[in-house]
Amino acid sequence: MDNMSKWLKVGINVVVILANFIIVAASVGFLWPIGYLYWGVKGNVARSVWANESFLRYSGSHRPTASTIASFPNWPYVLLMAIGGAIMMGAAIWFCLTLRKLLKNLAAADYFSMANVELVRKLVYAECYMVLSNSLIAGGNQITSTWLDGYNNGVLAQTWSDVADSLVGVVVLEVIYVMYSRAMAIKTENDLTV
Amino acid sequence: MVKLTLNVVMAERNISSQELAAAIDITPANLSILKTGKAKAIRFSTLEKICRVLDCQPGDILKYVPDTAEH
Repeated sequence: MDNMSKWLKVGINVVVILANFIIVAASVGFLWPIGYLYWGVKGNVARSVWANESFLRYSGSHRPTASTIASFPNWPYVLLMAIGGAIMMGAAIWFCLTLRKLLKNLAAADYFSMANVELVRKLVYAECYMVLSNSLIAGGNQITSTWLDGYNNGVLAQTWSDVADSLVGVVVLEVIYVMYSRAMAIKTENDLTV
Repeated sequence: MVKLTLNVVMAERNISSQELAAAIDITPANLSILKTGKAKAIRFSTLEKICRVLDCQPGDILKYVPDTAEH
């Protein structure tokens, strides 16, 4: 049993370190939405996307014509990517901060408390924001795929399948939340049985 | 709802919380939960001990009060 708790502590420490790394990376990641807004202000978004090294062309695709570039929905694309990106970075930071608190409580052997139930609920909300951000970014990437016949392979490269993945994440976290809150209710009732 | 009138019976028997807690072998904190009405449930074993020590019937310490909504 002691051996198991030792490995549990090691696992928690590893996840906390990863969460810290993601918090730093997501903080830096706010530069990407700003970059998209810069493209929007600068104009010629389609050309900037096409010239970007993270933008990969489908085999057989041709350089976009002048009319394609002219009809490219610059601001819808920029806003979808910038807002989606900002929400995603914010949600990632919120998720990791909450997860870190939850894991620290577990490491301190504070398994069943209302504070932990509240933290799991926050994880569900953060994951819901992930679904929203993934939807916006997937919408933006759909625009480049449709107009420019290629796909983003860099940061903020989410597609519709990522939206489905994050929805599964919401369902899994919600199930954990419901079970955990029920367990807390049973424990409270047990504590108040004399 | 069911209310516990334990404090009334305790006052009639002139027994303190500490004495009762020691006599029925529960913690003062748990006895406080009973007295303040925070308890969600009471075990038959606890009820039996209380009745034995206070020399009363379960009905003396449990009282049914209809909820206001039922009127």
